[in-house]
Amino acid sequence: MKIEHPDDPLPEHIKEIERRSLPDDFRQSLMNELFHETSKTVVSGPWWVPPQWLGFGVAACWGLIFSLQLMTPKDQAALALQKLDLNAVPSFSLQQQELFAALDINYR
Amino acid sequence: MDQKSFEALYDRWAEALYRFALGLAGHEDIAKDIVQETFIKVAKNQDFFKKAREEQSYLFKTVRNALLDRSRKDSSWKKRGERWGNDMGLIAPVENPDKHEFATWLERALAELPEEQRSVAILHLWEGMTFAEIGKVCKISGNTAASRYRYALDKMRDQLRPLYEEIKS
Repeated sequence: MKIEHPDDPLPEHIKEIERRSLPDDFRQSLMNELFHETSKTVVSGPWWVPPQWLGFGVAACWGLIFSLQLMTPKDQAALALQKLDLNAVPSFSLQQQELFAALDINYR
Repeated sequence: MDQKSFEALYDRWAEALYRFALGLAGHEDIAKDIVQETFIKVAKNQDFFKKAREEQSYLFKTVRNALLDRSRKDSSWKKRGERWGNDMGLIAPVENPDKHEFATWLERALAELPEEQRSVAILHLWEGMTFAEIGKVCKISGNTAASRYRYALDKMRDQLRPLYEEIKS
């Protein structure tokens, strides 16, 4: 595919013109960015070891849960309910007996 | 990619890619950004050497696509880059006054070309790429690349007419 006319001096003249080069420090800064700065900042262990920040985060969450648990005042009514024998409540006891009778279970 | 292979790749192509980017962008900082982005992309691509059999066309295509993306996003940059008489910073300083004048006119003539013709002209004249190779970079056929080159040369000849007559004689 012949495009240029053999007598046309323009392409040769253009080729002779020198173009600007990359600045000297460009190469070094790119290499630093890719191979040195990243290796300094990212200190990572094997893939199965979770990163340090994750460990701190989990510990902080558990600490918060325990402290909230300790700080929450105990409800006296809730404590009394825990100690209550449900069999002692007449309506519950009656319902239980009716249920066992319906199921034909010997109870006590 | 290990550092040694990357450095070798950089040394083979960085200057040519920068000059190509500068020729298209007409702006030194944009050209540097684009070249940096291209090499970072390559460094992060572990399979680069397996996939990119033709590294030349891959790299030039990446630079061109990045520039076209940027020009689409930033229309003010496109206008600035293609403005007549704008100093593109493409040409190295020249001491010889005749050469300096020619270089200045040439830079203006290049700035006047549409991007698709400018790409082809730069790649063929300065990078010595064949039209088939240029076709791969610009995603066009070799014949289309050849005709774009011819149009580009005709336009530059018109722009450089007063000087062209001098160099011809």
